[in-house]
Amino acid sequence: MRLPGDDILNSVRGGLSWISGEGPHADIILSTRVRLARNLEHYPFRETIAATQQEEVTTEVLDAYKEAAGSNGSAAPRQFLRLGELQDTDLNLLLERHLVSREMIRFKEASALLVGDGGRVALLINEEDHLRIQVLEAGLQLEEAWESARRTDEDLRRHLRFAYHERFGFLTSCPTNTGTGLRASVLIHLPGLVLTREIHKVLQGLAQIGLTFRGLYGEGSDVVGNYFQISNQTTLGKSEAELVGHLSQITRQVIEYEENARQVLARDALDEIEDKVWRAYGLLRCARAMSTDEMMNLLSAVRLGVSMKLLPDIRVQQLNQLLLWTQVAHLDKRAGRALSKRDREHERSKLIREILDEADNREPKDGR
Amino acid sequence: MLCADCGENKATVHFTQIVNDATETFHLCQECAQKRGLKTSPVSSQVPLSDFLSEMGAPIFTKATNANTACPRCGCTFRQFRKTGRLGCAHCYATFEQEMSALLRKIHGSNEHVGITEDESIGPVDELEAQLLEMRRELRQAVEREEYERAAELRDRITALEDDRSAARAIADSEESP
Repeated sequence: MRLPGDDILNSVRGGLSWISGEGPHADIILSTRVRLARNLEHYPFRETIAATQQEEVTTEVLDAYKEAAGSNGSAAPRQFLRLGELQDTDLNLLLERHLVSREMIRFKEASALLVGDGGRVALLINEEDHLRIQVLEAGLQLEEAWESARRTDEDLRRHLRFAYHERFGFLTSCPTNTGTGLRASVLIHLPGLVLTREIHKVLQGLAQIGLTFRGLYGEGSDVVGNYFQISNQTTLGKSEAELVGHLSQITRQVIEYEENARQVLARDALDEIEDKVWRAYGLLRCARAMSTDEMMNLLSAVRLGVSMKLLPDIRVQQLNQLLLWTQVAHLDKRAGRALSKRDREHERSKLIREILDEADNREPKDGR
Repeated sequence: MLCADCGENKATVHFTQIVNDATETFHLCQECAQKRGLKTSPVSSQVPLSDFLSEMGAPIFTKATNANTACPRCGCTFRQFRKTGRLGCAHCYATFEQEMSALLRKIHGSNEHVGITEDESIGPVDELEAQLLEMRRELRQAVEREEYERAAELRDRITALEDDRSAARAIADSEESP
């Protein structure tokens, strides 16, 4: 489906691979992310590095990437962005796509972003560490994402020397990332566990096995719309494959708990759930102004409804579009200006209706 | 406790049902629970908390023998690190090796890296790659210093080497594929 302003949005590449919703368990797992923290051997870390050195780091990483892409024969389309040259809307748009961190925006003069390989692999330059290799995939694809990250790391290591310690492994600015430098995460939607009040047990369980959870937008962000980011807490003492495998295994288990919870809901409270889902759908369908928070919560109910087959034929891709296109910077970018709060709420509701119209046009089905 | 339905087997499935605001709790054996169409692994009892090993400890900073010891490479002191939680450079790990060793163990439950190593899976050191890397660096410097003759010479040599490498790769690839 094409919407007005799609071209403008697509002009910023990357961070969109998950939208398709084509990965395994994509109705529950929105996306999978793997990142590797690396530092160049001959440059100080962010705490003590000079601006000119940061510029050299950028050049070295860029050159190494070009070399690696060239020798792979994959002249992968890429986009290189210096954050200092971008408008606020673009910076926030990248943030909403998880392509840059708040940290990078705070130090935007030195930070840069390189997006390659069809937008799945991104190099975040001069973040807390000199380099963060990040891979984003749709649905639950931890092993695949790790494999892409591993290959990118290996390619870059042919051309760059990373800070490394015989015993501690890859060295990072913050010791919580030392060793593998690997942080793997899944963005998971758990309304069933929240509604059945089982979520705290699950989250407590995660903490006890070296996993941690956060809200949609990372450290310190609130849990909105029942979206949770689950990731490994530790990075040292286990191999990358073990860390990834462990998260993968536990994620599958959490999916099972979530599915069980949904079965319990369907068995004990189907009428209530149906009402909740259809009300949310009705509001999204008809409202003429919509705030981000309201949208996030309604969308969570609709996503649950789609997953439980209580709603007409809405595809996961459309659910994902509803989630990302309606974020503040994405709306502003599409409109071509910084919208006022009122205008934005109006535009958001309009865009939601357009996406849902599209869903309706595909063989409407009876609710149940 | 015995199963409420058959009264024979041990009740291992416990669940609470809410019907029209009335709460009823059942204690059943696996078999009878299945007869009632219950999934015998209810959500609540499935999180294997007891199986999980706690590996995390709160990051507690160790007392450096001398908090004012500075890293010879970047000048960062252990005191500074304690304040910011960020190290100044890679060499800080060597400077404060003892403290870092203890700290890493506290954070990660281990201080021994077992993952991919610095030069793992790169294979034998590629002489050609190293040479190319060095020449590209020289080329950049030559351009910066506006030594265009030298730059042109380097560029030609790099191109020649890259062609060799592509040829070598093509041969290697054709040998790999069946």
